[in-house]
Amino acid sequence: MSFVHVLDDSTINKIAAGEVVERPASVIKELIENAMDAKADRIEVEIMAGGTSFMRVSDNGIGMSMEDAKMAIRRHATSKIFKVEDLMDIDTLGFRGEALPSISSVSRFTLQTRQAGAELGTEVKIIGGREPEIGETGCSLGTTIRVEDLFFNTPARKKFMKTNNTEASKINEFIIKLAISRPDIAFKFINNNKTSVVTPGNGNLHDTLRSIYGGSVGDALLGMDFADDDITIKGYISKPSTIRSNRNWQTFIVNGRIISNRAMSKAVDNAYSSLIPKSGYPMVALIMEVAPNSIDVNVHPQKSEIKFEDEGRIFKAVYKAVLDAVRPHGEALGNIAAQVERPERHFTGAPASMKEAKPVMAPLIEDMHFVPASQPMVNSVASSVSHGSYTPSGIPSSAYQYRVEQQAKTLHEAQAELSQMKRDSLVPSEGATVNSTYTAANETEKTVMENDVLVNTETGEIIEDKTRGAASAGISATPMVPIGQVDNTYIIAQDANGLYIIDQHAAHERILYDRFAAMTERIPSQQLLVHLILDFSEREAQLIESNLEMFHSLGFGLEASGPDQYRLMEIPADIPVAEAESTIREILVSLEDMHQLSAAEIRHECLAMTACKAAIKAGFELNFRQMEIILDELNKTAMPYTCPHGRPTILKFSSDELAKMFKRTGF
Amino acid sequence: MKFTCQRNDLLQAIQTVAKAVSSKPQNPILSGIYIKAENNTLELQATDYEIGIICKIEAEITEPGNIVLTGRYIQEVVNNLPGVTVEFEYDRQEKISHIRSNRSNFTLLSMSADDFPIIKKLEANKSLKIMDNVLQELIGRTTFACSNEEARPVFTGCLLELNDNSVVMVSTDTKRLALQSKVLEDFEGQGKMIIPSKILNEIHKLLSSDMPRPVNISYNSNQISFEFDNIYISSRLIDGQFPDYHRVIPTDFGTRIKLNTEEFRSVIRRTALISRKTDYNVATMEFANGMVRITSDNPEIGNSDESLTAEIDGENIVISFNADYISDVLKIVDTKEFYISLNNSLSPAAIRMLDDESFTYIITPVRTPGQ
Repeated sequence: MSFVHVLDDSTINKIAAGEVVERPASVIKELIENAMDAKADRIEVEIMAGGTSFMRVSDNGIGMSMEDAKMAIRRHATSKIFKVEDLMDIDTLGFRGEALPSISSVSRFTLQTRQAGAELGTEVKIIGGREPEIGETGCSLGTTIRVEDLFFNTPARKKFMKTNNTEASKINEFIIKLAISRPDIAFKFINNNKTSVVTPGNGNLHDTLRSIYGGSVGDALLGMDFADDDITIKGYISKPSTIRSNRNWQTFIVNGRIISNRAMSKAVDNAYSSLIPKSGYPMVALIMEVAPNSIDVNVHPQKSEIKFEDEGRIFKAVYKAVLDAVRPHGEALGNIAAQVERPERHFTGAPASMKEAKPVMAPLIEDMHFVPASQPMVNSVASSVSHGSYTPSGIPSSAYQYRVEQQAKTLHEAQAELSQMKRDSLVPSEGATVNSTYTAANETEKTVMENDVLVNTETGEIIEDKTRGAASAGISATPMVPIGQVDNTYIIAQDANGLYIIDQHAAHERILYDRFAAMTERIPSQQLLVHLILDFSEREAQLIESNLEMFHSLGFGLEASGPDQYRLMEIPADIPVAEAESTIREILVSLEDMHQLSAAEIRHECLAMTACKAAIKAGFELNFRQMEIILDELNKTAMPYTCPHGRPTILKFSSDELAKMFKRTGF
Repeated sequence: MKFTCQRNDLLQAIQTVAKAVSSKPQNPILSGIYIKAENNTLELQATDYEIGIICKIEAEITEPGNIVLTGRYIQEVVNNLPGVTVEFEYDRQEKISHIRSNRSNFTLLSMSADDFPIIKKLEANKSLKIMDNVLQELIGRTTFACSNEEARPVFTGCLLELNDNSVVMVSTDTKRLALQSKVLEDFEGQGKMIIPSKILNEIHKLLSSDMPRPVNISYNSNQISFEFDNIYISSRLIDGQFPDYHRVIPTDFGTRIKLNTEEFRSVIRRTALISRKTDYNVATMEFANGMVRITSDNPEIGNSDESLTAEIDGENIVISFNADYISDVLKIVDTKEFYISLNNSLSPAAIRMLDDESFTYIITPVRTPGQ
């Protein structure tokens, strides 16, 4: 009698489910990816109890015919690839054909789908991987999948699930990342009957980020743009004024696929922390396009990891993209100032648990209604309209885009045309308002100009200096003009866009730090009479071996003196012998992180200290000329946002914001 | 306890032992100076368990006894007393000390002498006698090159090496090295020890008398004591292996330059105005055609450029040094002229005095970018 036999399909599916379906979030991920591959532009996700009892994913995609639906629930049935060569050239998200059978084998599974033009849709019901019940049903265009009682027949797996809150936040995280990866799809996520993520789906990444992370983050975004022969990078990174203590706000998308890749996150960290000390992680939404055949996505069942052909090159590209974004090139100082935080909203009566679970989402729900679109003009219209009224569904307005969820769900077909129509009608029907806002804006500008003149006449001789400076600066926008000093500590300044407060000490510290850092490029190295023998691990020794040149240029003379042993013969003239070894080890640690330290970074502490001591202190009275010099010099630094210790240097009150504070937004 | 003594004697004794008063005392008694009055002699002691100093002075004692007073306060008070003599009395009942001089009267709180760790004289099996002027030269010409980085304690002290009748003192901070050797009469023996530079510097200060006198040195494997006049000092030795200094001193040099000490000293002093201690402090020297050209370039300040005649024996050479390391050694060069011996711009140089082979100073060059 033979022991070896072939397993039956339902057992195979359960085993496979272990790989593909790990937790509710992975179900959601598979289903949303299917919806995206089905060319949907509106995806709605609803879960109850962290997805353990109920999950629903609806899309308005192309749907399936009954034959397709029957096939889809079979293992390795896919519409996405045809032959093995296609694996090398994948541009859809799913392709293995494992998701549906796997999910249906461990849950009560319902699929409803209808193609455009078909009168009736198909409904497939599977309970725990048993024979499917297939029938006709009336349903909306696209596909809706319901997954109930996940893992009801695999108790072992169910045991390993975390609390409902944890599972819900995992799903939340996934959806945010998916939404970022596809700004052209309107996402909506309902958790326990509460809407927690809504994105406009207008194709604008900035708007999407703003609607996900809230307005204050939206104001603190810096655009990334990088392109060479094979790699293009686009996306946003937050200013150092908005940083997080973990990487939750970092999204990397390669060829439309959300991935995690150590090289990429390291590149972001390194580029960011080369300018400010390690104080946190910025929000990043990075979208990269590479040639499909230069990556391998088939290394992980959940496709969450990715292999690059040339990881070093990817690292460099990301590094450069981030660096270019955070290093302003000839931008006016005003553009880099940190937006003043908005007053905190109070959520009296909101359940505490929800606030805790999703602090990100809490302000969003209210913010949604007046999130401005990308263009400033439309922006003011949008906010004014939403402030004035509750936007009944008849009145077309840009704010309406953010509230599409109010529409009846059966209107899918009409929706696309409708929203298009709305967009078209927006401009003409709101023309009058737009115009009036326009004049208002012009007026504001005029007032600002008048203020300018006012200041100039007050300060007499500065006028000529200033105009000359502006003329020579040429391209850069209107320069910032100091108005005065508060507490002998803060410089108040203004330009055409608003009001600025600059911490004079922090600003001067940054200016000096940059100047000192520039001087560290030429460091003489002191030879040692008594050489230091240093022992390293094998890995470290290899790193030293391959980076001997770099150590030499930093002023360290190293020579191999045995297996994994080096003789230190030269040290930079300004580093005490006692610290030389720890400095070398520090360099090795950052080399492990694929980051080459520069001479200035090694001396960061020391430089920051010197800069701090030499900088003008709070309480020092400045005249207008001195203030101008500080503003001017600050603008020239590589990283004007913060002082070397990470405190902000400059705050901005935009004209809009000032208007809002004084309730002048109706004009 | 009651005694009367000369204010200056007392002050000097207090200042001598105060060097051993712990700056961060582990317990209060270590912040004190122990005073014992007996047989018309006043004995002062202080220790921080690493160094111990005993100093004896004459006094007129009317009632013997012992007491511990806080080192800092007694030193400050005695230093400022108006009279020539000091009268000291300890009131056993009230447990306070009265210090009187002329018409000023201080009362200081005191601690019980029973708690004080009395210094036991080192009972060492090895000892030697050395004249104080010899010891002074050994110390004075080496301690300046010691390191003050506590990370590697070996370099914070000087190596004292006894080899038959020669004694060698060596110090290095791994960037430069100073060596002074002397010949000892009536001594035969071997020994090697690393003495903390801190204690050597104190001894150097105390040895400044005109009359040559012998200093008795006793030592064992981890302690050393010095005894001269009315002073006894004991110290722990630094544990560790001092690197072999012979290997560091080049035996041959390709170029030897003779320079005038005073001229070169003033050039270096001026160069340091540009090179700056707080910056990289690099002075570049160009030896060619019977001249030495000394330049320094500081991007923040400017340049200096000076020339000096020199007797060059060998090939021309350009070399950079830390200006501090040069000026340090020039402070102790006491001959009219001195030698710099060089091989090439990236190997150590030696500085020696004219007609004095007992002193050698080795200095490593600085590699400037582009070299």
